[in-house]
Amino acid sequence: MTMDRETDRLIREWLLDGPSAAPPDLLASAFSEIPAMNARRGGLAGTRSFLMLRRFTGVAASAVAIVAVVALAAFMLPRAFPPGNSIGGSVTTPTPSYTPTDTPLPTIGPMGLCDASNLVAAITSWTGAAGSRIAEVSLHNTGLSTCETPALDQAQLLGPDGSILIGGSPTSSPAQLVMSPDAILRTMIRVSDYCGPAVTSGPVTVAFLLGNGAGRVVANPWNPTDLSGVPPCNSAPGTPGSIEMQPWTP
Amino acid sequence: MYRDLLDEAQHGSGEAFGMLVAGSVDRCYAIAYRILRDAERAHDSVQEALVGAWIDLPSLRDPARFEAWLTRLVVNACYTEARRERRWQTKLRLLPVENPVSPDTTGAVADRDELERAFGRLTVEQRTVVVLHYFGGQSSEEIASMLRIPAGTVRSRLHHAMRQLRAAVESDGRAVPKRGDRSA
Repeated sequence: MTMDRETDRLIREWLLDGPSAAPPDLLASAFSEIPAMNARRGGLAGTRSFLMLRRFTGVAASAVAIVAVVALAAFMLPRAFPPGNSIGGSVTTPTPSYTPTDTPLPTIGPMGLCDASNLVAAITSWTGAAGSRIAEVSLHNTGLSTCETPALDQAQLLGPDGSILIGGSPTSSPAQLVMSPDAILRTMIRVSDYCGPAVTSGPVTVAFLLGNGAGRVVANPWNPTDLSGVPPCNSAPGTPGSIEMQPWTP
Repeated sequence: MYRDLLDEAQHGSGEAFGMLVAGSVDRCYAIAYRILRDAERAHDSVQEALVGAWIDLPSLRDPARFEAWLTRLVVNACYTEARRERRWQTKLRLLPVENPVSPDTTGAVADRDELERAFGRLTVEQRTVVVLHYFGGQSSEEIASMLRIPAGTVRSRLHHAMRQLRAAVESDGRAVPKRGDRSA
């Protein structure tokens, strides 16, 4: 490569002139995220994974002193979420099944039901990791009053025509979400091992099923042509993929 | 020792994972900071990469590739962060400065300022290869292997990025003699 040495030197110096060490709280904050994420994966991955993650939180705290306080706090918080909240599923043959988001919600309490048209879900990012894709999803109550909605804890990965690429299984312990006006809840969806028919055009997105067949809330895709959410196939064609989600958190 | 740690971490030992990443987190952060030029975003990116590393560690087949694998996770997290940043930037509007400050006449400072701005104009993919090559000291082949892209792509990104950076420095007037490259 033709390269001016003086420019080369300047750029090297400029690049070196920056932090060479991570902030002291970085490991702590990262570790605090891990049990929260994985405690909720436990239901799908099995009790063993969940227990390992609990062990991880405690032991990591002893390995890195600065981690201790934050990790402990994070260790306590996820216990509010039962491990059974994770969702697993299998690949299904794409079937056009796009359900509008304005399905009336079932009655669940005196507070008042959320009007589905006021609930706006959106994918805010896709992150690629080895063998899987992770979506950050927000759920915004654009309504003017506090309302309740079923937990929306059964997830699906949807193809561009609304077909289900990977479907999650229903959970046996549905909770309810209470959303104040303008509240935003967030979750992370992890999809892995899609071995179904090729998806060549976007966008792909995720949906969350309401209980009792009452419809689903479809997240706005990350962008109109986005294919980031199609995970690679690491198994034989037709092998079930998986989709997991965290519980919704503010 | 290292392989034992990795093996234990792959089998769910949080202690081993903590020790592994504690040895890498400074380098990861330094790379993320230089790609994103923002401490908070670098922090978030490394955090995201570490979470992803814990989740996907069991799928890592070649223990010798742990560092490269972790760096790739960091780079991918930086890509995501940069895309997020770009979406915000499209909503920004530049306002005129009413009382502009006199420019610093010190050559080195001006050069750095030009570099900073020119670097910000590069794509995140170009910034990444510049950082990995000039800061991380990795060859085009090593970067290609790490990022799973062709070596030619790495060289091309590096070439175009350097051309833009050099043009920025040279346009400042103190520069550096040209050797045939056109300004971008």
